[in-house]
Amino acid sequence: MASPLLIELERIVGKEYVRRGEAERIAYSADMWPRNQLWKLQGDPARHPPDAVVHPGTEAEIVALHAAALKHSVPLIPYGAGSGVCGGTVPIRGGVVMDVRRLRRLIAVDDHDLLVTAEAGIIGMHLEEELDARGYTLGHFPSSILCSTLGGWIAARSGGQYSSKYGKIEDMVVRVRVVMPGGEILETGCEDGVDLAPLLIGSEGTLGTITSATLRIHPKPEAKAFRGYRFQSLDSGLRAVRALLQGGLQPCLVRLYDPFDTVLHRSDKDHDLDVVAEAVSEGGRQGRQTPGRFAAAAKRLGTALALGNASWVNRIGAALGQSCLLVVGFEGPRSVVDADMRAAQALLTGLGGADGGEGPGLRWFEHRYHVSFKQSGVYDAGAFVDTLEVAATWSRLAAVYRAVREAVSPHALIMAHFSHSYREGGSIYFTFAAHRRDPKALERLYDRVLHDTFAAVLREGGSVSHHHGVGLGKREQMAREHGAGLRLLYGVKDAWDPQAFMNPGKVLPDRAVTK
Amino acid sequence: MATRDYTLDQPVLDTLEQALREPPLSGRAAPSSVFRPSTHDEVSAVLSAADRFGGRVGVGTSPVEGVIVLDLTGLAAIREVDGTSQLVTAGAGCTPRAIAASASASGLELDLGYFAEPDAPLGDALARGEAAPLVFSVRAALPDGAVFETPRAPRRASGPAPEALLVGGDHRAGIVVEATLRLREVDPSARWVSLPGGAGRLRLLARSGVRWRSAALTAEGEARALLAASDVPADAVASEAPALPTRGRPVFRRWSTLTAPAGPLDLHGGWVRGGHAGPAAPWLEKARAAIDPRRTLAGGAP
Repeated sequence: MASPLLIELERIVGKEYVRRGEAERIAYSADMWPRNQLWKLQGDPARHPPDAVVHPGTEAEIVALHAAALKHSVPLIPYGAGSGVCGGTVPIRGGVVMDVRRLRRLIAVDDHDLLVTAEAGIIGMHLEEELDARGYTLGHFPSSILCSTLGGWIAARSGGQYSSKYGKIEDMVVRVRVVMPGGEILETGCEDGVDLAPLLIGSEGTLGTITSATLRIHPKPEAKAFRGYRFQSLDSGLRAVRALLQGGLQPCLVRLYDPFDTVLHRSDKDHDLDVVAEAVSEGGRQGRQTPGRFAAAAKRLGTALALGNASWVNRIGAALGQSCLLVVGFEGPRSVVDADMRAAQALLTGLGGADGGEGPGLRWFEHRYHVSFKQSGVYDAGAFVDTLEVAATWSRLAAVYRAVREAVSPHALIMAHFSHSYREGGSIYFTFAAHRRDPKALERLYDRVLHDTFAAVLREGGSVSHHHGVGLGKREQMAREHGAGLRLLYGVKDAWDPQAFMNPGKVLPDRAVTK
Repeated sequence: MATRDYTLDQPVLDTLEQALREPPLSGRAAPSSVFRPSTHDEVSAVLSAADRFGGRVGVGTSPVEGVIVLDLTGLAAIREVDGTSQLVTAGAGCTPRAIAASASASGLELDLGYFAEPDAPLGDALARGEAAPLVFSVRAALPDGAVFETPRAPRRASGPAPEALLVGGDHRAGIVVEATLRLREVDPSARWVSLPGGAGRLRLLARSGVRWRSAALTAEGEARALLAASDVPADAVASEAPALPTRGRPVFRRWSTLTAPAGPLDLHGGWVRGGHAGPAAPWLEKARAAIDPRRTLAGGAP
């Protein structure tokens, strides 16, 4: 990096807030995108390191950083907490990563209009705790809530576990304040009939840096209730979920596990794939105490065996049964929760659901944040695990599920649950895992699994992203998903960031791809 | 100035292109005619010709000097009522009332409360930004005639929402030719009730957790609130049930954007009034200029 820029960065944020050490360069070269883990398995811990990491403390400093990066033609990558799983903050062209977590104030809570305004760098759980102390909730509970920021949520169009009741982040945002690429400050709204927020939400730092936002909040729920139901087949479970949503009830949680995921849900492990690994390795050491390092080795071996023969594991999973677990939850005033749960009980049992009591829901509640901030131990065994959240209308949802399963089953272990349900459709959350001895072969297999999945989703009329955003991992799918409409987004990018220095290479495919 | 009211077959398009080529109509001028396409391909053909030869295209029903006016009332087909997903796909020339009638045959309801003029074309309403919460996806024509549909998936996260340039976009980033709208089941037990206290009462109800289907404020100084619900608590109903309001827009400019995901209204934003660090309109204009560099799209014609 040219020293004039470095001097300018240090002048803007202070020398202690410009970091260029090896640790920072490795840490900020990756987010939670599994491909970063695959590169590490190949002995490449930081394939795309930034030239520098800066930690601005004010919006004015962010404005100045924009100007400096623009002047020196250096990429600028806004960064929240690095919990993204699509590579949205990977500095593929080097440049300056701008970590906004020092902007973490809760600015205001409006008790009359039920709004909260907070800075973009506040960690999700901290925001929720601040609201909880004042008697409110945002209603946004992504599994990454412990390691993600408000700005990151907005940038990636995040969805929380209770999106069926409270909506996704785009439903919650009332105003968003952004430093535009050239350093101008824009605060969206609707005063002049123009609301640009939908163009900024989901832009992943390619159109500016989010510095604060105002969102809707809700009274803290007086009561919560969860209940599990078992359905004889996935189709009967899906029919029940659709009836629940379209019948006018507003559950906060609706989560239907496919048959394989239903089997694994019985465990209390943090991650579905950890369960697979443990189940396989447990088989060889039942009834005796295994020393720790042998247990670890056995677990790695079990994972390799299970995931190296994924098609067999998928068949075994299918043979275990076809029943599916549905977990529903309600929260709100106690009288409303009680009434809604009674109505749901009548509806779901009437549609063939066997009441499983509170247990399944409470188990989910206890483990609801455990996945995101731990990379699964599957990687330790030389395997990959990834998740993919796709969306479709009710008319297409089952077809999308089956097409993806059919495409992926020969190559990788696959399971799914249906969460984030709405009147018109919902999301399918797939989990894939596979193993190869050779790390490069493993990455080739990963590519194939994703390619086949995306192709199946788009062929069946779904969207390749419901709440993880696009980043690097899905950007090549955008042309097929948006068609000629992608030119609208190119137009916005060209108009607002003509130098294309804001988080380059993310969200939109290179122009040649669509021509 | 003539109104052409027939299928835009090739001879007509050839004539249009010829007129656009010939002086003095070349350049930014254009034959001042109203064309009424009946297919998306015809919309595309007119735009393509205009874009190639420097014509300007607006949307409306009356001739405008120097503008090729597209009358979209010919796009009046209701393509599909998807009862499974509770969606209806209709052409820009359909009226919301006609769409509602079609939906009701399937036991579903289109909330006409989102439309200021339920008997005016859907395309006009969407161009004005009405009914945004009902819009699931749109099919639109770009300035060069390319027709596309925004992804048909609920609450996707595949980048920014291009619909923001089309719904409320005054036909200036693209011309909406068809839209897919959200429906809901008819609830025969729901009734409109009138509540004294207007905004204050609605605010309290919004916090109460009570589910409702629709809500509005009467236009007379926010004096009364109207609530459509099937389970309104008895103590919330303080007067007789009035007739269903058939016209009139709510007082809140953004009230129609406040529907909660599963349907019932969430009123938090009804009181929101944003302050701008800088005006948004110039940013929108910049984007439009990049999308339509030849200024082919003239917007909604008067």
